[in-house]
Amino acid sequence: MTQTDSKQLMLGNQALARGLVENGCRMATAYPGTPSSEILTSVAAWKKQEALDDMHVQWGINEKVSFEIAYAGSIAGLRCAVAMKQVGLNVASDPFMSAAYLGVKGGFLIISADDPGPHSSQTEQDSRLYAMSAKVPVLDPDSPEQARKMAKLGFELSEAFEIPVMIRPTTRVCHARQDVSLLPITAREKSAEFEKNPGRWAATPKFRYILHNQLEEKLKKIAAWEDTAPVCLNPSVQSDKAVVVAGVSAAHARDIIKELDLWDTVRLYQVFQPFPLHTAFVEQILSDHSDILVLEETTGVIEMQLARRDRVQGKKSGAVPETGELLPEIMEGIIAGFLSVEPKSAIMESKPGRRPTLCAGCPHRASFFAIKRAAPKGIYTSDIGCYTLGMNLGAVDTVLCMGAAISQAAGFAHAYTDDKRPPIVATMGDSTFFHSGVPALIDAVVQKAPFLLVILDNRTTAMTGNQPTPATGRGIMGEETVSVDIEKLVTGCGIDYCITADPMDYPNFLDHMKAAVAHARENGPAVLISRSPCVLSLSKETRKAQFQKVVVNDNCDGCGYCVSHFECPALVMDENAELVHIDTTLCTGCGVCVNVCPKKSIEIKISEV
Amino acid sequence: MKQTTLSMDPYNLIITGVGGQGNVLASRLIGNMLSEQGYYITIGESFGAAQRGGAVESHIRVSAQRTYSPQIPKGKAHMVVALEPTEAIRILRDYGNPGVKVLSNMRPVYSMGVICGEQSYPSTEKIKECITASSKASWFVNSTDEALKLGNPIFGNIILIGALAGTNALPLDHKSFEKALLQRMKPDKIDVNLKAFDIGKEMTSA
Repeated sequence: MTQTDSKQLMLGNQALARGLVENGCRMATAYPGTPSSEILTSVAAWKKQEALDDMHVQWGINEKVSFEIAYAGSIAGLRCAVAMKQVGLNVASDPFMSAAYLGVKGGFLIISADDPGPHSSQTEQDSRLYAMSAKVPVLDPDSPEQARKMAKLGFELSEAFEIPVMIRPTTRVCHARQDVSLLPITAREKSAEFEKNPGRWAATPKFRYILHNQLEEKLKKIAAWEDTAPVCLNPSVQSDKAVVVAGVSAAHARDIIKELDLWDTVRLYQVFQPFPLHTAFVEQILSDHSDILVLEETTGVIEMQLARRDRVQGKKSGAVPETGELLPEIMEGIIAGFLSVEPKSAIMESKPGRRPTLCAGCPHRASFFAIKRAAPKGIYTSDIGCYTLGMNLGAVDTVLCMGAAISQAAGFAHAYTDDKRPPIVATMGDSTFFHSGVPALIDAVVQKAPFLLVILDNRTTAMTGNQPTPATGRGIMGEETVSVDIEKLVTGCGIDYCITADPMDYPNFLDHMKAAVAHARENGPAVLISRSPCVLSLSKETRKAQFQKVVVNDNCDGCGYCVSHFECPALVMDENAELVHIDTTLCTGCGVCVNVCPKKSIEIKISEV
Repeated sequence: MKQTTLSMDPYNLIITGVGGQGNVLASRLIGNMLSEQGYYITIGESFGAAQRGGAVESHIRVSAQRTYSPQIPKGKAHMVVALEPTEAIRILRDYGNPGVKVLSNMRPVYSMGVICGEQSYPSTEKIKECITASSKASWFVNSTDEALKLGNPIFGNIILIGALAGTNALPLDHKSFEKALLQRMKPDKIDVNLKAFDIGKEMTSA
């Protein structure tokens, strides 16, 4: 393979994807989730550009299914990868734990993108802890370029030890854009060949014990594998103290230590494989240095493997915060304190920014408004997606994890006695319903749980960038595929009462909502499919065709009901005039707000011909 | 590597705005224009949930020497380009310093707090006063208004790139912009974007 001059300014996720295709990845799967979503779309883009016809690229219905599809490709001998966000790994954790025992044939990479902060996640969990728990090696890239290189390294490590390998980028790597050098794409001629071996691929508990022992042996060897060993970034320095870094903290530490003029004063080590930490490195660093500071995100995974509490400073010792991102200014203070120098910058408290809101013209807003009308004083369980923002409208009371809206609604229904039970309405997006709503709905049917499920069917996975759902009828390459009928799926789960209605046709929709809420209270679970496409996926022509000119008439007395209960960004309270006006640059002309004003002061203006 | 001198190395540029204003595209175009000239570029982007009307900020770090980490440390911005004026103030609070320069569009995008009447939005005079007081140099432009004249508010980000070029803070010009456009836009979109760039450049050129 030769180095080419070709460089491109590339997102970390694109760079990772590039690493996959450069190194003969033959199957790539994913379920979208910030900050990982662009990995698979980039793989698909290169598949198209480079005409990699043998490569299978697909969105899976959820992370577990995605994992298992790619894993099967690997045990058939192909290089394969699955990508997800960190909470997605919770969903895929069952096959992940087991695959560690069984091992792989073709190189197999699990890319689990962490989100310290968190910026757009339920938790700040550290996927490297999962790797530790599963006993799988994990690589921690510090930049897009290193992420690209780690795809190669990961495949090699995986094949050398027949073990799954995790790559764990964080948001700041996934969403950083840097110059990345492109290498040619190497075609791998290998075709799938599954060698039967039930003792391994279908191992019973007795054999699992043997596999567990073999896994421990593999880990010992991986902890001595030179290609992933930590390096000292300034080896000419001799110092009692040492700083150990990994991931994006390594990128920050290089800048900070130079900025503080300490590059020639303290040894800086970068760890590429936080688990298993190289045995020789542990011995060397503990014998050469009296005090060691470890900077890593988000949990002290390296720190806990340097088992000398008296000499190692990090999260457990209290030197480094256990929560949140290690921002450069925080790291500067910690490093300066460790080396007894003055930090050069002062930390300022951040002020909260803007809260996000549903887009103008979003059909979810109409659905939520109807829910509040039809089931006032209800309990509103909801889920993960744009519609979590229904919280601002007072129409979302709970958000736990993917798919929980249905089971939590059932749980509330069972918790209250018949005479005290308020109306219970669950909201869940179409993609989330496919992802993990179906088993919960079947359970609710069996248990006759009295609640209404509103499936917010906007025909897409909007939150993560409008990826297709199983109902879209298109795959990641834009190819035509099968569209799964949500109504049939719902009735197949055993639901008798399933109505589909368009929330943008608001008065009619509200009638359906009221009827469905009433039915559910008396008869057990009911489903209302609220179907209207995401405004972001509408074509210019459709948007133009649907546009209705909305105006505020003289009835408006500035009571503020519309802005606080409907919260459309296009409806703006003009404080000076004490009236509401419409921001025409934002208004999509959906006309739903006409139904909102109690004084009928918002109306559709029929244009003169 | 072509060595053009930067006034600071690394040069730390923050582009800030509200989801939907074209912040990410603007930072990518600026990155491509500078990368093409041989500079090392790192862009740290914040997007995700923030897309839906939340604040979006991009950190662009430009160096002739080496690659820098994707986050500008607090207090170390050299230039803040704001697609929305109060976002400039928010960024200055965290990343400002006596030497910072600011280029801001003056068209407000009201936050939900303002829309609902929970917060009030500062007057244009007040915003200008605040930015002027906390920066070494500042430029206030009406890029959204100019963009509307071109037929679509979305050109506001391109006009701001032009305005940034006009300040001479970084080596950005018409030609390198055209080259960056050609990499990622359909041919029929090039002319109007170039026009937007030139309009912006005119606004700040001394």
